[in-house]
Amino acid sequence: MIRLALAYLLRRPVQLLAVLGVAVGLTALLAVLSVMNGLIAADRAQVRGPLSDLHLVPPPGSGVLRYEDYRQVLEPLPEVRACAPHLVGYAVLGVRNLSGVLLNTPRSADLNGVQVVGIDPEAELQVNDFGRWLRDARRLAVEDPAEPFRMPERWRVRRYAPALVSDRLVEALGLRREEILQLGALPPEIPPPGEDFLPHNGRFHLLGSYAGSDYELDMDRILTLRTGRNGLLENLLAPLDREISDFSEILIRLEEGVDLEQGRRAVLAALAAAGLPAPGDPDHPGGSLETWEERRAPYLLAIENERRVTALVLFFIVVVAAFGLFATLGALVREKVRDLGILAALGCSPWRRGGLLLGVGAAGAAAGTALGGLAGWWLSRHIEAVETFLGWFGVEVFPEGIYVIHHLPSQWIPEQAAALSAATFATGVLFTLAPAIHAATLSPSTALRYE
Amino acid sequence: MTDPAAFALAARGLWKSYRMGAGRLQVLRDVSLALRPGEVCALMGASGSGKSTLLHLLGLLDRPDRGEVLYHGRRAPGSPGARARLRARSLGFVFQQFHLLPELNALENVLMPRRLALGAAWWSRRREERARARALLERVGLGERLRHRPKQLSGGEQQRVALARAVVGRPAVLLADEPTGNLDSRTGEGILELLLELAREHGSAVLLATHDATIAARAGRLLHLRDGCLDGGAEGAPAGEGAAENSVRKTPEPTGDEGGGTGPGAGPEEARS
Repeated sequence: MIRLALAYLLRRPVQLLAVLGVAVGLTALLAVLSVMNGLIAADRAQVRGPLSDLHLVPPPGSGVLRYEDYRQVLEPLPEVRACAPHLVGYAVLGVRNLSGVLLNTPRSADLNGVQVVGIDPEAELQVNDFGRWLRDARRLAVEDPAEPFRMPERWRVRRYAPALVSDRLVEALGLRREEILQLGALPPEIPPPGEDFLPHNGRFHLLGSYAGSDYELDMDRILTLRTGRNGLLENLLAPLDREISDFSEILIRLEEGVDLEQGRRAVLAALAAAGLPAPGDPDHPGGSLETWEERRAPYLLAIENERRVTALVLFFIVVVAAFGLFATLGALVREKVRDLGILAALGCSPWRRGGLLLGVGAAGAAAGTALGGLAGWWLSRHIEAVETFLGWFGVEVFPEGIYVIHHLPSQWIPEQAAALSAATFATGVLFTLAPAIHAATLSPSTALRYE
Repeated sequence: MTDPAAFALAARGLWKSYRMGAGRLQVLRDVSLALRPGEVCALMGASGSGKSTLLHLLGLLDRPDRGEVLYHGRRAPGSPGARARLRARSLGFVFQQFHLLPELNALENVLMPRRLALGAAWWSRRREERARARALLERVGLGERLRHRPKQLSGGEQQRVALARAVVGRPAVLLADEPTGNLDSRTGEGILELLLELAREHGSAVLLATHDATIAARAGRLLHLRDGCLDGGAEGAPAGEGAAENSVRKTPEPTGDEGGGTGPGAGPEEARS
């Protein structure tokens, strides 16, 4: 019977076409999904951007907090590789001459509401992609990414605090290196009713730019030193020498292999043991200790959903291809009605007649799945060939301007490929059930008389 | 009344009709017959008289509207699987159109019934089965054509392969439906000789459907099917519905050596299982 099943499968070109259809469908599914996987991996890196594994925001109203107190608790933890503080302020950015700009003219291109983030560069390089961004800068790359805020000796004027902005902001505002950025910040406290609300002004030297990855964030963010004579704290946020916290949040990088949840539990337990204000503290409600995935949850869920939908749509291609097996096996049963009658006369039971057809279908589905799996694997490994091929026709799969990726990404996930191959094989076998049942239930007498 | 177990094959009161549009076409009416082991019986009737239908009922390829078929006195089973097993072990078919499987070569065609009958045991017995099939094909003059597919064989050669296939399992009963109908007279004569010889060698009872009187004359007994009724079928048949109504008529002349014995012969053990 196996011999007969193989003969039915191999000696009928249309049967092989159906097998090829399944193979092509699965190849397309696996290749496109590997690209989607690669895109998601690339996107995760892009989306993650300036974020570290964990972000700690102490509860508001906890009094004046010092980063050093937290660092001494966090850095010794075995789960923590490094941590870095961010001090965040909000200001109006005026380019060139802030005093000449009408603040109540909302359409003025010279005004930008910005987030001014004070960082400790050495620590920052340990917790996120800041170093890569500096190296990848395309507009005003700094001389030494290891010391991004060091002003070159040759600069004529070096009296203001250093600042870095994104390539995009440089492009949008037409900024030049060494340019002076004027920032108008809110006063440390809101004055009583009737008194003037006077902003505090600060001036910064534009030292360079970084690549960035998040359009919205890149357009609204200026990086500078957090503390020290040229830091954000002294220059913009506390001009009246009032005592305020020297950080807004702490970025925490976990050791390799440490689960985000595991890291979160360890950090919270350590802070509670040290008596430092932290989320979950009953005396100080509020605050947060979020993972980077939670901060980017909507976007991550959106691209994950995109992958699911793509997989679903492409799997329909496989289903259509498997329908080819159904069609060709249906035709095989019609074509081989008399053979089925002969087999019945020779003593072939209905089960075995059905099994013969099921065997043909299963062998076809298995061959198609194996071919498709291999071809999909090969394509995912040589995705640049596909990119080149599509390029000949002027097709750019993921335009760089939209997806911020320079090459077609690809990531082969064996478990995913195995599951899809199994589903393809099962679908193929499922589609052969109907012809197999037809073959099994054929009346031998009718089959023998079939012309 | 004869002991039912004395017959290789028996039928009692078979009725069969087919739906034809709104009505039904009655093909067989109360047909009874019995065939002793080793007996050769010709079934004559005009084209469309129901010969093939009767052979299909006796060969368990179809089910009667009423009546029953017995093998060695036992009622044929009802389940499709058991009927298939009985076909594989006790029955051999020879068809007018040869009905070889076109994808398989001559040797594979002859081996197919044995594969089906033996199931998993095939693997332990395949060498001896192959040797037997080869010997049979040599016996029918096709020793050099073992690997040839049906389309590479002439009509007479194909029918010889079909004969080898029909007797390879030493069936208790051989059902031949116009086995020479598609062959020229000379080739047909040779095939008939061979069929009767092989049946005698293997102790199989033969029911030979034909509309050719010269072929029918080679059988030990002659049955006529007219208007769905059988003349001469119930001789010694086990008692049952319709058996008494059919008249008995022996063929006037003996069949000769090649006609096969009309008396009881030893049926193969496996056919009686």
